[in-house]
Amino acid sequence: MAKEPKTIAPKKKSVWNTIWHQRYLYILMIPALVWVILICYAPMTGLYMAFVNYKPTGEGYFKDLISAKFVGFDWFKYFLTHDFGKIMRNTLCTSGLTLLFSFPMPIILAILLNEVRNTHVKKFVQTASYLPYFISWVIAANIFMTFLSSTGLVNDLLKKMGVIEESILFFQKGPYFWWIIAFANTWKSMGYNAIIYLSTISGIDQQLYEAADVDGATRVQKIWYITLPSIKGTISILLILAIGGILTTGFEQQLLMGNNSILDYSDVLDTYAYRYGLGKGMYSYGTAVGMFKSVVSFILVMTANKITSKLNDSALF
Amino acid sequence: MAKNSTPATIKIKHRRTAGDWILDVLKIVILTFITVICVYPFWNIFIVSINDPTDAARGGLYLWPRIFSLDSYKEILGRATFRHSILVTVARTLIGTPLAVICTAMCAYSLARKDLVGHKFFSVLFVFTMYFGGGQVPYYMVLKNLGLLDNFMVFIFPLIMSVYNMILIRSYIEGMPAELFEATKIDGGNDLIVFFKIVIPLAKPILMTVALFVAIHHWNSWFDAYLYTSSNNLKVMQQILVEILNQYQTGATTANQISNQNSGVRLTPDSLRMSSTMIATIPIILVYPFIQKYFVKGIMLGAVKG
Amino acid sequence: MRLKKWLAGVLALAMVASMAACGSKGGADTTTKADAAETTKAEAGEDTTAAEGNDGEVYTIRFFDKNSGTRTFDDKIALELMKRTGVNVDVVNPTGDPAEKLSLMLAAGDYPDIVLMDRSSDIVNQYIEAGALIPISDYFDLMPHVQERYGEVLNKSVYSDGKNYYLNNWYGVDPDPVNAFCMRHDLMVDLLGEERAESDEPFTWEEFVQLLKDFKAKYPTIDGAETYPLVIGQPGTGEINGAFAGANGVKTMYVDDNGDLHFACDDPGFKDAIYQMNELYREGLLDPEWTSNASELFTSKLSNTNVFGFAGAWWGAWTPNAALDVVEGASVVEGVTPHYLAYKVLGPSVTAETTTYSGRSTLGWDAIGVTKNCTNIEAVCKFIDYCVSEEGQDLLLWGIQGEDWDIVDGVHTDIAGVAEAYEADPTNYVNENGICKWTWFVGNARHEDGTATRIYYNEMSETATYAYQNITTNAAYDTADFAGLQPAGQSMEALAYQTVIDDFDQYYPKMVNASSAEEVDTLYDEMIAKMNADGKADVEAYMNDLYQARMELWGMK
Repeated sequence: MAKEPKTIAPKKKSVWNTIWHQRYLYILMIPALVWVILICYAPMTGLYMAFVNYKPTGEGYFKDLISAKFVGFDWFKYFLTHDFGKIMRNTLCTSGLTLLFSFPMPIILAILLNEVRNTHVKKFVQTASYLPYFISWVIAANIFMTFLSSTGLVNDLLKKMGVIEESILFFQKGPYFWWIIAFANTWKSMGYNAIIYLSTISGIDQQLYEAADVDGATRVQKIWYITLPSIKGTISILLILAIGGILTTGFEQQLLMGNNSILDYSDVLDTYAYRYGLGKGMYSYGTAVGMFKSVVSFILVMTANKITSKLNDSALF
Repeated sequence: MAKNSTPATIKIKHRRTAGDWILDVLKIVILTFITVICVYPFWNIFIVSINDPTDAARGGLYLWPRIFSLDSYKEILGRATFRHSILVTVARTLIGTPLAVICTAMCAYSLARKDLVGHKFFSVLFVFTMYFGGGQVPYYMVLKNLGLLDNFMVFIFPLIMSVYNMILIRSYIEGMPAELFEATKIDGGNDLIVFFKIVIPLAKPILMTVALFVAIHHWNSWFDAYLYTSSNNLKVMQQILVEILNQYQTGATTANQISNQNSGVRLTPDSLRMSSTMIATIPIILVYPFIQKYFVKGIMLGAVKG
Repeated sequence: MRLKKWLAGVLALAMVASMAACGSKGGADTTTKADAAETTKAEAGEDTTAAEGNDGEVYTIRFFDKNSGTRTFDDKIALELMKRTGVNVDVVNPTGDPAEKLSLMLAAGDYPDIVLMDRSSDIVNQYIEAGALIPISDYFDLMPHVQERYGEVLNKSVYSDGKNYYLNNWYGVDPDPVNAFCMRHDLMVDLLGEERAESDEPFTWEEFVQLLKDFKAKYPTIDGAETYPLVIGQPGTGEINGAFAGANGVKTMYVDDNGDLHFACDDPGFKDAIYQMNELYREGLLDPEWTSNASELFTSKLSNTNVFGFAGAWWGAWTPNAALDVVEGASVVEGVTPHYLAYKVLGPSVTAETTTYSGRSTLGWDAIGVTKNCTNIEAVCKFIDYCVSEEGQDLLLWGIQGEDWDIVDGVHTDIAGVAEAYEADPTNYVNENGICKWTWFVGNARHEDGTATRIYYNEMSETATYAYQNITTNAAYDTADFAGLQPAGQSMEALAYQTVIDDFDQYYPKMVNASSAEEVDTLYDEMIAKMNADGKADVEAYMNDLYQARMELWGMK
């Protein structure tokens, strides 16, 4: 931490005294600790699979794991030498574009919603923006593919408006696909994430706005000097998490909307791991690919955290 | 944090500036656009769901149904297994959500206290799990050893915490003025009292947000029920919906298609998929306003302080 | 504060809950089993003493059926089957991808008594290799009907150690058609005249292209929409469109003159198929968006009036045909239905005798194995033997004799109007009535009296009649020769296999969508080079070894 913690206890007291003083805080953490140990850490023995040639033999999982042949970094090596560059490029382009839109959009949406005076309109628009979250990818993909097909609504509209003469074949050109995925992801998650900002905004002390009104501030100024600084902490935290998730693109939307003619562009880390993973019974290889992703993500999140904690006082740790 | 950013400019007259005009225009344009692209697909799903399934296969349904029919709703709602599965889903949502909110909030408050000994250790301990997991097989084995397989608790326990939600609550608590906590302490209260008397009431907007997220997660889950239970009386609603769909769907492989052909399946999955979306979503939309009010409306910090 | 009290209560609950979860760690297995037993009791409606494993009289067979959907084992056929075999059956349904659940059950050793899985997938070999399945051939003495009815199929299904580990489902010779070029009947009559449109004479490739061109020239638009002469569905994995493969004699794998096995792309007919698709693409006769025609979009395109035909499995026509029936004035010829009907087209290097439109496996679609978790093997054998027997099959697929059907004049006859009731509402009827709901150990051979194994047999519609008339003859080949040769899970060959398939999947649409025939050649060479670099030869060698051993075993060499 950049700031030294303000210790409540006087300095001469030992660390054990402080801990005793904070005992209630530890008690509050007990359910979470039990959970994290049992649900998150206990299964991590499975990470060892990435370094062995794991095969179920009917002897039981732990026995199989221990007796499996150790192969070192062989799985990683195969992954890094086969199509690795292409898959990373696709992953980074897809999630980079997604981040570009899906990160600021909820903030803009939340701030604009906060500007709506009529409560009914505000509630309606807010509910509406949340609806796509409930549409499963199977349906969403179907809607996108129908609307963007050569005879679909979008091409019809563009032709009527005279923008294009020939239909655009959206799903036949690789780079279009990254944009479609970025748009679809943003569309689906925007309302969900906006709720987080809305609740933070609703936690802002209304007296601040009243004071600003007395001072004669314009609405733009109130957004700039009150709203934005108040949600700055949430923004940086979510940004750190989003950067950590940059290798996670999801696979459903890619599998459902992608097709083989643009596989060069649509194949990302998650779809790759899915194709080679559990369904195929390649436990070890799937684990190795997953582990590669974990390590990179964790490094990214630590780095992002370091940078943000230098810039302001809100960070993950 | 919010306090020290009061506007520096003082002398501004009460009239609409150019900035306000731009803001209004942007507001109307952007919000209208968002509303349209979010509501229209949902409307489309709705009209396909109440259209005759065979006719719907032609596509081209944009604004109104061509041939009205409730067949696909009848197909789903008519099943006894479906009605039972709703009970299971409601039970897991009602039991799981409050538990998750409280456990997550308790942990979030402790970690929001930067003076906590081991603060950084615990933070990393939790954040680490967002990126590293052991995979499905070892997870399954752990659940098995905990006796959670084919047990209702498998829906509850793994979801009592979520690191992401914990971080959301924590960063909200961190944004609260620290004097509030100090004042209570000086009055002789301990951390438990601070948590229940100060933090919980003040953090209501974010707690309600998290409650909403968790409840929806419970409501929509089927994968855990599929992988970790096998009793028919533990089937959840979404699981039945997915199963009904699979039954009507011509599979990806030739073998699947032929075995479907052999079992005489020849209906379109489209309408069923749409009506199951409506069936799963309408209850949420009905309950939504009761939760929404907590984060759409601002709260007066002063009122609680006094 | 109300909220506080409420939260305090919840907090207490949370503590108790998490303690309970930890506390039960020791007695894990017993809890699970007891729960499971309880469930089955509840389901079967038996009293509590009934289903207690070996010591009670009634054994409960837990049966994972990947095809069972939401079906519950509680209809009259199910009850009758349990009554006749003296066991309880508890069906475990799949929800998501069955392969995923099967993998997990295997890794955790948590499989039920019987598993029904996709025979062509390598999950079967994984189960056998892991020792999860018992060698069922050791118990054939207990199952007299199995050897009698399966016959040759058993010899072809043995594992490399000479034992059988599963029984086939939908086994035996099955000449049912699969792929076809399906064209709108009314347009065929309009363009070629009634006689040609209704004959079973195959079209040559040149005739076919001319037909598509004639259509496009005569109908540039229909109902204001631009027309598509031929639509095909999204490419599958590791294979080209089945109708084009069929027209050129391409099978799932290619066996060269020396009898060695190769990927299908080495087949000379393969390149012909690509040239043909490319020609159609360049001439504007193929839907340019074909690569993204996922099943819904594909069906919805066919359900509109502006499409002439499609290439693929003939039953893809069912939904569009039904949809076109309700469109006013869809047919361009009065009195002729606007239905997609199956036709055969011959590629340049094949004769009508060497097409491969219908890849069917004599070894069936599913494998049904008994796992080593089964504690009462005698009861299970008795159950299986009954299901396999003609009496058992008739119960499952025809219903209860004397109630649903009976032998009238020596022939199986529907006496309760089962088939009509089924036609009216297939899904619900099957679910309630139970006939053909449980398709286990099904054989394709007909009864001795000539009736089909199923009471509902769909040879009655116009769509089916055409498929059987035009495609059945000389179009079938047995995919069993090549099934399950791919390297199983967890090995470098398996990785290489998947990589080679990935290469193929990327190049196939590129070749079809190439701007000239020369570009097709360039892309083809590029593809082969990439596949070779990724280990095609090694994978083929691996598969060839298995294949040669199999051929020897079956005495086909």
